[in-house]
Amino acid sequence: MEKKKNYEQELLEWQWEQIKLRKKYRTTPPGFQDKEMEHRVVWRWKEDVARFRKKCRHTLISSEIFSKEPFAGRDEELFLIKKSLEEQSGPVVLYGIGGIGKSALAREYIRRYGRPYDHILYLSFQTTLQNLISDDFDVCISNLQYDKDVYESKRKYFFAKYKLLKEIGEKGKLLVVIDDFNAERDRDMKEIFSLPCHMIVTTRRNPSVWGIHQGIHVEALRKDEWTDFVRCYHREEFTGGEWKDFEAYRKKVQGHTLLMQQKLKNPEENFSGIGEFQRDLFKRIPLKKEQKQAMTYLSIMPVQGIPRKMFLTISGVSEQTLDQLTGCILVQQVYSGSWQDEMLFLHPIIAKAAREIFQPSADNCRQLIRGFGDYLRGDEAEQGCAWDHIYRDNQKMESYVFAFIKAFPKPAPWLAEAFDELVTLLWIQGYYKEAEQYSKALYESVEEYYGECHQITGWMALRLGAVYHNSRSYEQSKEWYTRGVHILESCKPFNKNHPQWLASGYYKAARLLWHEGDMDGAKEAIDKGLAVQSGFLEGFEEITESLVIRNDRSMAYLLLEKGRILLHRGEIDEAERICQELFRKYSEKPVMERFRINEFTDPGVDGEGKV
Amino acid sequence: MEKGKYEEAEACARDNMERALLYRGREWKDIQRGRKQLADILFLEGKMEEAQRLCDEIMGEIKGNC
Repeated sequence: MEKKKNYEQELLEWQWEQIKLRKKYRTTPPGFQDKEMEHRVVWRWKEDVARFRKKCRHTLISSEIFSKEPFAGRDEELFLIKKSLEEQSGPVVLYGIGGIGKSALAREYIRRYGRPYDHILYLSFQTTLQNLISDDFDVCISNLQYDKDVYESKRKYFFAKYKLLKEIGEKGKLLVVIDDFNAERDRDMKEIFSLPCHMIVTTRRNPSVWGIHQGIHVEALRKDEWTDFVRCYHREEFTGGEWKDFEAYRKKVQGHTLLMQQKLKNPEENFSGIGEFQRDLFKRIPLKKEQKQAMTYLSIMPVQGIPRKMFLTISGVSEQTLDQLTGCILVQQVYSGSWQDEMLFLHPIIAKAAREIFQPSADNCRQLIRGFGDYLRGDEAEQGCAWDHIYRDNQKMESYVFAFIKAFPKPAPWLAEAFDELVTLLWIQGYYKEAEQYSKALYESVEEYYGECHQITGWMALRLGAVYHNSRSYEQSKEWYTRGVHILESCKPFNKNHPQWLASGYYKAARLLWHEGDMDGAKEAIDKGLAVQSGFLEGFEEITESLVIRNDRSMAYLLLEKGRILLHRGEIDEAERICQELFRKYSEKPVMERFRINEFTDPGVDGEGKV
Repeated sequence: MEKGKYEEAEACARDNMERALLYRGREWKDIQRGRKQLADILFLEGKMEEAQRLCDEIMGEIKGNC
């Protein structure tokens, strides 16, 4: 952003110098002839300055205040947090064993005392503080977005954002919660912990390892708080016998909150401690097949969870199963304002136990992977595919894409199309390095499984070419596009997508030849593409609406490229006819709205400006 | 759109740029192309100051990337 700001600033300063000169030399032709003219120009300049300033203003977009969740006791701890935040500098660290209630305590603090803050950030720590702060979805500042051209590296962007956060903290009242920060050390701890704001950190570590000696040790609820706790989860009052059992179990597990929650929901299960809980939870609690499947899927999701509607769509899990799992508190649910939906998440201890027992793999998660691929492609999502979404909306999907990549570092070849959708979202969002790495891994896995000369291998070569093309590595994109076309030309069709994929290959080849100035070769390639694509629908017995849309889109892109090629060959009338026809036809169709419309207005402008 | 109507072409090119920024962010490869296209139109319209500014921006980013 800074680079752009400087150009605009320079222009405004230069314009002001011009105004001064025009004031000074009124008798010369460019000078102000009268006061009215001067006022008009100065007023317009001031308007431009105001517009520029508005554009440069940075505002922090707060996290949503959490909706109500079962919570009991902890009044003393909450008071102590408030007091410590007001009196001490640096973060207030809530530490204690996993599942004792540190995060719930931090969320309750926001609910009770969040109102006076101008901004609140609730951040779930995953890898490093740099990644946490650099994430533009979780830490969203208006008019600020990571841009490699401007910031060169994520590191520099982190410092730019840190500086802004510092300014925001100095100007207003800011509360930052860093949840589940279990790192032994982080190189940016000193900077982040010294931000001028109120900060709460939850961790399983004793903060003295970081040199902080004033943490609040979160322990079991006090004896008098258990009555309220029971009422949160148990509708009817306990009988004397039930209290006796409950008390005995409380002593046995030393009042561990998560275990006590489970006891209330699954009374027949008794764990002796958190270690046994983690090891035996899923052995002891009988889950039905679909419930196990849902737990497997949820165990690979990011810490902040997944919106309920999205999960239902991509997983095929039923509402009833989710309700059963939330009913026995294996799955937690909290409303998120930014998603306008309930977020489903597992407690980190339960997620770890689920991963260890159910061992998520491409095989037992294939439905989820396919579902997520379809979701990104827009087959299921009502709002269309990633290509047609604005940058900010796609940003919401980034953490899920990274969660899938983390869970399946070696992509399974038989799910290549679904995995390729992850890659596509990565490069659309500018994660070129990550996209290249995963796309290469995908190509290698497909080549090994299907062989060198196979339709899927050819398609994946084209997809890797697309990663390079969009990251502006044109030499490499040429190599992979050429390889893809060659494979698709020589292999036996494997499924009915073959004509469309080959046509797509010719389209890429034509674009490459056009860029190299070989207009005859480009025209030849595009005509081949059009011929192949024309036969696409013939391969299907039943022609559905979605097939027609797919075919229409591919034909449109091929024709668009042909229009461009003809324009550059000097066949202007024919080029213009194609482009105008395409623009008229496809700008009327809803499938061509949003970003795609750009690709169809571009040649129109070319025609206006250059012809 | 008719030939030679540069105002319409300018509006269309600005819309393209804004849309590309909104949908893809400043890092997207088509942003420079959009800028160049807008600069060409502005040049044809005689709006030299802004055309020059856009060309400077393009040059600045090209130099920055070299």
